Amino acid sequence: MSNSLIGSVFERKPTALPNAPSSHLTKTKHGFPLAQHRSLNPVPRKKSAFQKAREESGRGERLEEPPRIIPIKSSLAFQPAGEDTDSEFELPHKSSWRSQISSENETRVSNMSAEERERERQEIIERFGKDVGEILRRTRERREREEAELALNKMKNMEDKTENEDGDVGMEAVEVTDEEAASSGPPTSPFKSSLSSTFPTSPSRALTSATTPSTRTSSPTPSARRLRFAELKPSNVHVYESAPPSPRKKALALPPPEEGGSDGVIKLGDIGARVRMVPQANDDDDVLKTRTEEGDKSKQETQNQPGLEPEAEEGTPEYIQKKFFPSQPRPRDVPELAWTASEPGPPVTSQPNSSSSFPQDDSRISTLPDPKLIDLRFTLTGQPIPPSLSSKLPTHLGLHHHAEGVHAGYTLDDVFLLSRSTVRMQRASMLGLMNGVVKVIRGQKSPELGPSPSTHTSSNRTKRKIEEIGNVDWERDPGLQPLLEVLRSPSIASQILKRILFTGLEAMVDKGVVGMRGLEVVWEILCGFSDVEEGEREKYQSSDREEWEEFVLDVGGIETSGSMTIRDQLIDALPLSQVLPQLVNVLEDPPDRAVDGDSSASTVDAGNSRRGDLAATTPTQNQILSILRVLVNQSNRIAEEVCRTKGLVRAVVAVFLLPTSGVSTSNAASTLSSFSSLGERIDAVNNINTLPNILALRFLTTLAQASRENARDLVQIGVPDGLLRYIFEVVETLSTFTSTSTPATADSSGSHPPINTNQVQAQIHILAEILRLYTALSRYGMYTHIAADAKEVWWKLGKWIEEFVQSVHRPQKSQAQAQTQLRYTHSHWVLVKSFTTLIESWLVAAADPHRTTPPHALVWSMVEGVGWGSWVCGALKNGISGENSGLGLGELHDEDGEKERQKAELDDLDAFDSFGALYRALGAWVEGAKINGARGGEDARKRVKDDVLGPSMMAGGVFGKVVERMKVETEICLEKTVSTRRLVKLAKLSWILSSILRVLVDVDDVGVSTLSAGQMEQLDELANGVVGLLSRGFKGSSSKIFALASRPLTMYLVWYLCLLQGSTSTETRSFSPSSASSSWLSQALSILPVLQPGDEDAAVKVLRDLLKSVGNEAQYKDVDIEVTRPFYEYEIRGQTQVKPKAADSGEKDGEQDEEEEEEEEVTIEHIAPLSPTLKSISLSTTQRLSAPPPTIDSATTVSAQAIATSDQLKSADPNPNTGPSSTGRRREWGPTGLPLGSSWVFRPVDHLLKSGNPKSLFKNLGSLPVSTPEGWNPGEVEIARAVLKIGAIKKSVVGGDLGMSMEEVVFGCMKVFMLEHEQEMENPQEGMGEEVFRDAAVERLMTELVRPFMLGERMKASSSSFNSRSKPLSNASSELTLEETSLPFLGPSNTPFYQFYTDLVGLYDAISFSHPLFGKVLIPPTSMRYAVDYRRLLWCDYPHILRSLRIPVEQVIVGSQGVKEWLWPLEKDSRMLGAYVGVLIRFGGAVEGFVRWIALHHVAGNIWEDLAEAAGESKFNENQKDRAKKLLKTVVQQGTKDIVGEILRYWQGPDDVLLPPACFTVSGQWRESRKTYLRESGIGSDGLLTLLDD
Amino acid sequence: MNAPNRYELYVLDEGERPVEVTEDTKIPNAATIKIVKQDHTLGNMLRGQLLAMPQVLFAGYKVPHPLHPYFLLKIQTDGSITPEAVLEQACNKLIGTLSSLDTKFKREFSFKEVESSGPGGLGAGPSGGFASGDDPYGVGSGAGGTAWGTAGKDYLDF
Repeated sequence: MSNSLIGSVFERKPTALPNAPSSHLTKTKHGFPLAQHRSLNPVPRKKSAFQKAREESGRGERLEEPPRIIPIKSSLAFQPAGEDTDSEFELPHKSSWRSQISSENETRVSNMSAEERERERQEIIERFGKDVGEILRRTRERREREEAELALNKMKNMEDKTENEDGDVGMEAVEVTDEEAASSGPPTSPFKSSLSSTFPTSPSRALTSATTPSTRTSSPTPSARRLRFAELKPSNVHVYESAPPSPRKKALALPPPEEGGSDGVIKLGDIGARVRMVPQANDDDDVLKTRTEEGDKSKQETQNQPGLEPEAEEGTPEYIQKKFFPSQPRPRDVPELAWTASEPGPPVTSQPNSSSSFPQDDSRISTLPDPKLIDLRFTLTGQPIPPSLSSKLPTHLGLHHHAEGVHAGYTLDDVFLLSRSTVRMQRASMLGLMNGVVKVIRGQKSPELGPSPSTHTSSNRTKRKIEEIGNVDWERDPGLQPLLEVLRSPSIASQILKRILFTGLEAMVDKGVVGMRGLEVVWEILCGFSDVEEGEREKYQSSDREEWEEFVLDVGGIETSGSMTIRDQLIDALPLSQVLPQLVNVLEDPPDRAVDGDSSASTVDAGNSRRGDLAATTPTQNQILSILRVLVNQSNRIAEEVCRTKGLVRAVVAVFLLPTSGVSTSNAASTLSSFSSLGERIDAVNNINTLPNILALRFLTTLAQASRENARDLVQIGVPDGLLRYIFEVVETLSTFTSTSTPATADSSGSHPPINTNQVQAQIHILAEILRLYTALSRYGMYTHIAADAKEVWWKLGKWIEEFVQSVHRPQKSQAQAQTQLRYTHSHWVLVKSFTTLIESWLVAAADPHRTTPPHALVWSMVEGVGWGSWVCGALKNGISGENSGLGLGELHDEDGEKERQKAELDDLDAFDSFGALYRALGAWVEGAKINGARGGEDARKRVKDDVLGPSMMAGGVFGKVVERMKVETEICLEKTVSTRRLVKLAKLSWILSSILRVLVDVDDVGVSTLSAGQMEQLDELANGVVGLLSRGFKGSSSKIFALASRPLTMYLVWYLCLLQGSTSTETRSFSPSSASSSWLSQALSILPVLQPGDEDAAVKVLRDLLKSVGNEAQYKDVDIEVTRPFYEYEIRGQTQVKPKAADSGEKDGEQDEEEEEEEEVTIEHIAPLSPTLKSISLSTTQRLSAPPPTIDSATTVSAQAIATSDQLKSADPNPNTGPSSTGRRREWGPTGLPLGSSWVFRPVDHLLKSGNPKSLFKNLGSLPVSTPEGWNPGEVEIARAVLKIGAIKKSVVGGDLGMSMEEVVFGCMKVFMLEHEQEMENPQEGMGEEVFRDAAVERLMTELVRPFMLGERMKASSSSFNSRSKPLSNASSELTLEETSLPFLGPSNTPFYQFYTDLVGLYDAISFSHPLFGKVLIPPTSMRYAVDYRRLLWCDYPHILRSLRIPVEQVIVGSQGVKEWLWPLEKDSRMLGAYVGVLIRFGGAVEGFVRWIALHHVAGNIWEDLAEAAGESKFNENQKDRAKKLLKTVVQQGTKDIVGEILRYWQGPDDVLLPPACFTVSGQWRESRKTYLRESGIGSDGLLTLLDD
Repeated sequence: MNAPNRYELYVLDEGERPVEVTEDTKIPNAATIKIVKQDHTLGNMLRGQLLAMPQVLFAGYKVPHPLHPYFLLKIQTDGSITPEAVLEQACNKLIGTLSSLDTKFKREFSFKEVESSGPGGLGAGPSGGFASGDDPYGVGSGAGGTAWGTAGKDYLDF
């Protein structure tokens, strides 16, 4: 234990200048200590320090005594040595050892030679001035005087501990000090000046030399020190915050020096204890230092020259080595020890005691990821100190730890080092510092300086000073900025944060303040960064945030992982299996349980405390809760791990939900009944503090939503049972409250003080949260029995809600009333909503008793018995009638200005939202009644139709309003970047609308009959808008927000489709362009690709209907569309992960391995749809969306890289995509899952091409939830036909170009051409064993698909400027190159597109028989947009196939840019030019069409400078001119006349592309200049020139 | 492991016919010719020879599987001659080319034996013979490296 309690904690040094003389004052008395290492000390360690000292002196082995150095505060600056001696060593034996010492000295002096004596004398005089004798004399006098008073001083054993004594000492000091200051001041200059020059304001260390062999000085070994301190009372030691200080606490540290200097002001007062304590830290260092210094004195007198830094050398390892181990090689000569060598450069005046626990804190040896960070220093609050300032800051700020160096502040290395200190306070403060560092990394401007900054300085002035540092905006400091940039760069930040996180985790399990701080750090990292990541939310007020959170819970949540942010990496790095049990322990026994209120108030997270219901839990517990919430939100895997952790959920429940479980709850109930008035009752409820924590409830809800297993665990633990008690209580309260207050609200609002309503509101809120948890459970069909078991409560609650819904729309008399009403409607509505949602899922569960777990927990007759259907119907009827009567809240406050109106609108939305839930419940009821009710639930349907649908559909009804508003929102969202809040609003509206549609569909198979044509039109418009919105994504919102907000939107689309389908169900289902079914078909085709994750069930349904409907189409009877269904279903479902059921085997590497099929029992991950269905109740494994894949950004970087590397493709490395991790982010090929994306049609072909891939459908048949028809074994031709047919129908129905870009279509066709595997043709059909593309149907369909992209069609289209709806969409997506388009299929690591293209060209070369379409497909990658490699492949490596590429110019497939892509910029590659010329010359007239044109264009462009100029390209340089001449010569000499003529006459304008033959007949000035050029260069004859004449 | 026996690469099975011609039903004047117990060596030569013939519109071959010792040759002609006939012609030409190459080579080689210490002019003869031999692709790599002989050579250098 080298580092005792006092250790090296103290950074602050007294500010007064060192009183150097005194340090040597006593040397004469005690002689000079022999420099002897303590290890050589024969005295046994265990001896008391004092005794040891005696023995030493007695034996005379120690010739010198190390001088005492006591750094003291300014007030003690001139405390003389004598005083120190007195105060410390007035021990009984004092005189005797004094005499011993003096006799020893005498003998020593007498043994000295005269020369030696003289030298010593000189030295002393030199060091202490001439009047040192005088001082010594006075000291001696005083000592003698004191010896007389010896008896007085018993208590002074403890002298350095108690304040009073120190005060006494201080007073004594005054007399002497003054004289001494006057007398000895000047001569001190050498030492002093050197010091002060180095430390302008720096630590004054009163180097009072110990005149006596004090225990302290004589025994610098740690063990000895410990002995000494064992005498201390704990109270003496405990001077700084072991608990965070409160402002009330006394300032225990010394105030900083007075500005005007410290002379003569001596205040010891109550800080004396501190003074004694503080120096201890440095004592040992200094003692050692001084001792060595003195021991060395005789040898190195000359060192103490002004300007030299006496301390600079000493104490350094090198010095020690030199001094004590001279025989050893110098460290700088030994490589292994080189690090100990002190470096020149910035004066490191003193190293920490090398024998202390600190290893060499050599900043050169840094563990930091970036060397620059060494310069970054932090204050104790974690505020970065600009380098410019760090050398100026005064030491009293506590930043010059160990007085090392001239810089104030801690480097990160220091922090990490000190955080491992065995001194708890040191650890605690470092953890606090880390907290600040985390905030800095996060980019928070200035770390909060709360009432208890995490520094252990408690002086007010110090604090103020630090605050001054903190308040300045260092972000802009030029010195600091680069450092911060380094610090914040993701890779470095994550490394540092990881270290900090683990430090925090280590400390977290500790007791007391260390544990607290540790947890705080962990919390800051995990929770703080989650806010940053979803930075968008930070802009909003807490109410918006709250709204968002509720919305997230309502739609089922989403995993927050997968974004590759710092936080993700941090959480991934967490060893959860170890951390979670530790968290349980800390949660159950928080370190801050006993801490006083002040500190808890200071550390409470502001977000957590806003509810005000956390009083019973400590801040640490709350932090744990929010850490847990972050973890649980991160991913379902972690959520399951959390749930599995033994006792964790129990602990959370015990701490947050049922704080004093059993006792107080039952007490609460009994207390409640004993109160007479209602107000008292509510107060009682709150005072007893049984309010469950809302955040904890949400935590549980999230757990339940994360996975079915979690939900099962929760039910088994009995969480819902425990909460049931609370529901009873609240409902009891509510029903009393409402029955008395509803009339009261009606006549006077004053009858209840607002506080009561607030409390009731809180209760309602909690109730809503509990119901939400129940809903989450019941969506797995769990815990549904409670619906029947506790029906009384539900009935009461339902009654209360009914009354509430009615009362809202009751006319209100006064504005004041409306105000009170408004204030709490939100949570009321939330309650209505959660309750109704719960009812909905129960209704669904009751419809089929076999679906619930356990089965038969709830049956329909019970539901009917309770009468929920009629209840929902009635409530909704009332609500709607209120709404329709024009007294909705929306109209109430129009005159109150915009703000009020918005608020009212929001409340209105709340009401609508609840209506939406009611509609959903109604839908569930009708659906259930259809199954279970008499005559297919006819009564129910009729009732719903009359009571609800009628009023809501009428003009001005709910339906109209919602549609209207949604339309507005959709338009806004389509046009501009919108806030998350707007999206939520849109999503909510769409949810409500879809609920209404659901009821419509349910009630009436021909739902449209209730809707007018106008309404249908509106819906259609809306659907188009929403599809547009979904296909292009919301501007400026993250993928997660998009994924969540799109769920209700797609729900609308799905129900809209149902409605449309219903409308066509009675008509003929066959396809005819004008019928309603075509509108359904077109909608289905456009909606299917945009359905989002979570809509799998709906998507499959739409798909089946779609295929059926397409299959019925008369036009292509020859194709069996159904063969593709398994592919599409697999694509839709495919991404759902299959994981082994057994939990332990799945844990192996944390990742579910889809190929792991040896285990038969697999559960298929199944995300529950937004509204529960019978299927989802029994099957769904989770309700949360899985994290969306990385956004487009990474895709584009990948493609950029692919392009960049494609130049090197020809070189040996066949795989350009090895390398940066950015590519690794792209998933390997596999089923994409939803959304299908625009090229979904071609997906089955992928599976054919990749039939060997483990993710292909062919490898997964039977293991996936894809039902394949009996005997399903389609051939490639069949599949290709079906696929192409769907594409063709899509094109004919949707119109335009399929909604696909040219690249997508072309790539799809390329894939079809690649289908050339010789199939095992058991039953050879027509044209056996032939290539797929030879099939007549396939050929025809493909041609049809690419037709819109042909140049001729394009030009026609643009000239007629038709207005296609999908036009802008396809244009937007055509920015992607083929390389990018192919990425999802080819995958990042397998095959680059170039390879694919090579194979394709090779295939064309081998088997095509010059198939025209095949040839056309080869052309797109040879445009100038692509790398030259593609052109080289085609023109240089396969020139002979160009002859067979007979593509008329009009038929070439071009992208959105048109044919220009191939023309400009001009080819510069000489190999390519050679190939162009070669093809032209070699084949002459055999090359025709597009190929010929392109070759002519580039050759001519490189011959005629005027062409390049016309295109705005730079003029030819010398090389190019030379080349042009050569080219011309070659062409003229070897080309046929046609070719030569065409080259001579070729002209191309930069803007409008002139197709051949127009490009050969243009006349212009250029002809003359070309003639001139020909003449000048002397190429060709006159005949050549005539070619240029018209 | 699953590699076929070496002899299977060149020994015909019982009743196996070395050449099969399948007329293409859809494409005029086109045929697919299956040549067994042969590989790229012959396939590429034939294809090159065919491509050099003006009547041939398309000629391509592929070896469907590297372990199956046969290749498919696809020929389409302009109608003036059947694919079979053109293949025959090509074969004949190829044989002629090869035998002339053979004799040339042997001649040069015997020269070398005779005048083992002869003048260095020897090198030009045979190498010219090699280069001026029929371009196996009919078009040459780079479409005319040989085709525009002297003019092209330096041209390719820029």
